[in-house]
Amino acid sequence: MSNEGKNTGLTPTEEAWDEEADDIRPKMGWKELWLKEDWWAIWVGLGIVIVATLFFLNGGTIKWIAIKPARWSTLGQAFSHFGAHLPQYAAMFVLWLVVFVAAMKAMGRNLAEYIPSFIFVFVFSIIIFYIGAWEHAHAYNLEPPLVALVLGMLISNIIGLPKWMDTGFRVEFYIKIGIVLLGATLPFTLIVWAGPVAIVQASIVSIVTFSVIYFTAKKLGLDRRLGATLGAGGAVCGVSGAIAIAGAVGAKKEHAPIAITMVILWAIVMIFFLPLVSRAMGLHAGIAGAWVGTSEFADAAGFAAAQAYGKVAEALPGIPGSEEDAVRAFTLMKVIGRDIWIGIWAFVLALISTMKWERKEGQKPDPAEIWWRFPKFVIGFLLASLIITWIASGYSLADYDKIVKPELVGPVKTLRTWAFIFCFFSIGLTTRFRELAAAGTRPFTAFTTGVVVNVLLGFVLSALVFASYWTHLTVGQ
Amino acid sequence: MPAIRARMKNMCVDCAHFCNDPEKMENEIPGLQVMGSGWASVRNIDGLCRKRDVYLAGYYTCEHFKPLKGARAA
Repeated sequence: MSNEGKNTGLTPTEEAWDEEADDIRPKMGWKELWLKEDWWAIWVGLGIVIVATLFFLNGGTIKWIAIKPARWSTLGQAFSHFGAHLPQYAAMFVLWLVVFVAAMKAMGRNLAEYIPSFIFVFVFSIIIFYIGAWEHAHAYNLEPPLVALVLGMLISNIIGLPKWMDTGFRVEFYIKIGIVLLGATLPFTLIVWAGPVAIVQASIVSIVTFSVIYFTAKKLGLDRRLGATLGAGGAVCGVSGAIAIAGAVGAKKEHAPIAITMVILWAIVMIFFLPLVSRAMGLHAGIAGAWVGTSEFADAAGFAAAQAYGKVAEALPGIPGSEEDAVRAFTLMKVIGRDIWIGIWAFVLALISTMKWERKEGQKPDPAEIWWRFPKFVIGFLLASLIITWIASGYSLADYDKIVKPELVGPVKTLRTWAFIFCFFSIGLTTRFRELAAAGTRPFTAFTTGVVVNVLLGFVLSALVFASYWTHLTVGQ
Repeated sequence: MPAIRARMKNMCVDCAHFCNDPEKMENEIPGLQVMGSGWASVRNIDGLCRKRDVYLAGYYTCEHFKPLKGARAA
């Protein structure tokens, strides 16, 4: 389906490729407030946080609608719990559907495709969440992120689904909403305390990784625009980094797909590899989270790895830390340390591209690009953190644990978990290996060299140099 | 992007060879939807040029610029 006839603020497909199209294109600018996913993640995520806060300030709570499976040991218990709470599941489904449909309609998506596709995602997400609530789930590594991912990949690669269903598998949209909601569970004081450390650690790793990939690619004779696109994919923020830099440097059409293939393949490997190695070494959940934040390639994949390891840490007595430790460290490292710098990377590389690589008169990127490429959902993440920190500041620690946590933060966290499961399942459903672009040996070699350096350096910085920060995230608040 | 627009004319974003429709981008760029998005802010107004087979920022210009029919009429 196309967006033909809809005002998306971007070039309408059919008209763009019909050179005789009778149209002057609508401009984007501030229309991105309702035409880009980042802003919709803010409206949805922050909207939930604000509504939850208003309920709380008036003596209420949204926990009735933020339902989740209870721990169970027999199938009878699981079915019984689900049956007893069916109206709550139905209400939560309607809540998600309404806000998602509003966002999709504004962005010009086909609702006749989106609605059935989201119903499919939601039904499987319930099953995945219940599997994760089984009392022996940890013993069999049946963590919801990993189950969602594997189940999704099995369905998409073995059974197959109609292409139109992709409309509902919005990986980035769901993860961005989850990150905004995560802001509500992360004290702003913690961001201020550990954020600079995350920026230092992530900057070291990003610059080294980018340089390794870029110069290896150059040495192997690859186009420098491909080298830069691969480098940004490995060093900054995965697919988002690769596509942003591809545009900034004017890469060949095939460059971005090659970098994306590399990112996806290595990101999926790392979802399993990093938690496995962390578990074998008995790493603190905070350290593992920081390592994942440094060495994973995409937000969604990183959250899957960090959350899975955090749950393992909570279930196994030999591993210190909690799920929150892992997720918090990961978020600080990935979102604050790496994601927010994409605009600057793009601007600098665009400058190099236009002034050095392909010198052309009058062609120079504007510094405003840094803002337009900024991953705006981070604003929602910070605002959510500020709101809840402000509320919590009026309570003692004991009252926070007794009142604020169960009535306000807990329900938001539950909705966050649902958004993450939608995301993880969507990753699996959209990862169709046969559809990925063939990368070739030289791009693979360049990227993989960067991966090795990245993983080793990320481990040294997380587990040795800055370990005290990542093991004391709750102390530093 | 008023700053850029005031400075440059004949940008790719106004060219008939250029396309940046997010849905089309997700279909044309394999894997973009898996861990990225056509609708992400980081993509800004970037798109594909059919004439030169490159993916580039909408503020670029080149000698192959061809205005849209509506723009030519204006």
